[in-house]
Amino acid sequence: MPRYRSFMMLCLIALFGLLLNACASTPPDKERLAAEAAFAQAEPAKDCASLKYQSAEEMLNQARRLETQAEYDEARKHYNVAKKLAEEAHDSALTQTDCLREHGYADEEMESSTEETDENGPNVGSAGTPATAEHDDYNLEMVHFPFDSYELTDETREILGRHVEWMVKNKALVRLVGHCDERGSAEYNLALGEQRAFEVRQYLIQNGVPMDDLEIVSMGEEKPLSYEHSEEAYAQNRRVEFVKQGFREEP
Amino acid sequence: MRIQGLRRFLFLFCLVLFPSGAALAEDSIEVPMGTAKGRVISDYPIAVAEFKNFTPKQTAELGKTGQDVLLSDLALSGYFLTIDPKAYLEDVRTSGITEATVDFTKWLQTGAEGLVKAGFWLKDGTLKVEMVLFSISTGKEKIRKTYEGPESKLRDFCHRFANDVVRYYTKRPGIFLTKIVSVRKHKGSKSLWICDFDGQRCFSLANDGGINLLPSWNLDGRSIFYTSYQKGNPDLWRIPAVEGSKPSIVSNRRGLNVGAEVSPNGKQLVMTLTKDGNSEIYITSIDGKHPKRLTNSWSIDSSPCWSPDGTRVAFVSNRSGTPQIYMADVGGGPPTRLTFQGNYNQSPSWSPDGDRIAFTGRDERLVFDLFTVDVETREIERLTQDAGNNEDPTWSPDGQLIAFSSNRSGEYKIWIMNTDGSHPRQITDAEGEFTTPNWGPITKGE
Repeated sequence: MPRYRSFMMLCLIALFGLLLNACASTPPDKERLAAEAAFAQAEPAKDCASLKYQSAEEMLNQARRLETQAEYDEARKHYNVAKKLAEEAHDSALTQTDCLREHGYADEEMESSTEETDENGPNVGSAGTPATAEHDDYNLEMVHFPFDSYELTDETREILGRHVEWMVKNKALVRLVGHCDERGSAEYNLALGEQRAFEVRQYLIQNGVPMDDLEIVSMGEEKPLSYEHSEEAYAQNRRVEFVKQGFREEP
Repeated sequence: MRIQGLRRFLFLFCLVLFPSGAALAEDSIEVPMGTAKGRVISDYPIAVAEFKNFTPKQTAELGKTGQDVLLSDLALSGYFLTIDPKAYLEDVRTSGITEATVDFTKWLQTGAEGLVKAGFWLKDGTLKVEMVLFSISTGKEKIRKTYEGPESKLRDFCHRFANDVVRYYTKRPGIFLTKIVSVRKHKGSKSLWICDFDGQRCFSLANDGGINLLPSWNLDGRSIFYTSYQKGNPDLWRIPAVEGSKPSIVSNRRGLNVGAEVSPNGKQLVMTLTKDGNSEIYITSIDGKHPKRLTNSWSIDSSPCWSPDGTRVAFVSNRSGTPQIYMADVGGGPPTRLTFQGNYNQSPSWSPDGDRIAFTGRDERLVFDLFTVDVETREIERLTQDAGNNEDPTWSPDGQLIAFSSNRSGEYKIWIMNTDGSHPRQITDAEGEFTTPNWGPITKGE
């Protein structure tokens, strides 16, 4: 899967580059249709798609707004990002088998969707070149926390160190999404999730990531990765996720 | 068998509480007043007869419904012990609803002290109900009210009369027309769920398929503040408490805009904001403007609630290392820590009489239960034990009951109980999980 995904993304970016050159000032019809298709595919499993689905939706809306303002190039970029986010949302949702089951998706449904995305990879890929590979195949691995804590462990610092390197090099714009396990009040957990994202941001800034490249949102206990009620599930759910928002343009 | 024993006990209990011939009003209930520390949960025995049908050839169903609603109200109120209708000896068909036509000797044998009788007329879809409260021992009529309207209003008529009954005995307003809002988790989304206090006539709001959280009533009972992610950020919104209504934004500052609660004078909100980089408690105007910061620490400060006199705010802070309940003067000054037992205390809710703060604590077995802390003495009282997890307490506006969420029956549902933890009753039974209840106010005109 990871290989497919990175390959697919790579190809998408290449494709995006080609298209950008080919039709600079015409309405981005192709991109819109592609983004909408990806979005429609992710939609049925949106409840299990973490924050990526929301981001895709936001991006799609922005793209539509830009298109109505005849900002076609900007719109095109936004559609492409929306498409990518929607695809990622779809992929990540498919790994949440507990969640899918809870929301009543049949097992066959999940499998058939998986096949579909797998087939897409090579098809799109045949048109692409690996020119901008470095940009996207880096996985901004999430970091985890102890119970009722926002302390960064040594392991977390090590992971964050790698993220800093990539983010600085690529001028990446990233949203930090803080999460908690289900125990404790929803209200307190919103603050705890925010504090976790806040601590991560502090660390990233101290190590050279520009503050403006980072944004924070807390999901509290509202978007668990695992719906089980075990210590392992809780540990998995106490996390900060990194959602790529694009790349900073040079002034 | 159990009823029989209970009734005997009650006879004795009433003899002690209401000695005949004493100066104490023959049928008033001792209730906690002001800052009185002794809380008395009364079990005043009362009976409600099936409503008599005065309309020929009509269904008797309404009469049963009316009886059920009144019995349920009085039982839930925390003031009364309702006598089981199986023990009633008088025949509703051969008796009436006046002093002369009620057989009080038959009612005396049930052990009841108070008696509600009612009759109804149904004509061309218009319902007329007459309800009467009698004192059984004296055979005297105490209250008589007539209500008229569409058949669908029967529940409201009963709630209004139940309010009158409570006011008659306790000199306090009843809560039978109040509502409770909670969050319903269903099919992966969270919406607001509004019901009558007894769990009836529910409807959903903010049902946008997203995440909607932490509802809190405005003082007029007509709108609800809550936090929604509909724009991606946890913003504070306000929505009219009417089916199908649309929300408007109150505070969308960067970061959290959560946990708003309206001040007792209705002019301000207290809420948690993280706009200054860390979660702090702020007081704003009712429209979310002019934030004034109340806390100042590098730790988490969250979950604020007002004292009933509006001079203080209780909140949760982990400034000592673990979440504990604190209170601060609205005028400023360092906060006072209230809880010292346990290492996970959250969700404070101040009692309407101002004496106690209910909260959720995690005990040594890692189970969540409800407790109260006395604001003066810091004395802790436990309200729930050995019944699943119990969280998110909210007081009824008369201070007689606490609503909360509990998973003791499997999933999280809303329950209510007396303020000493007795008589827990589940009031939501719809599909889904229900959390963070907030009990609405007694509104004017009730």
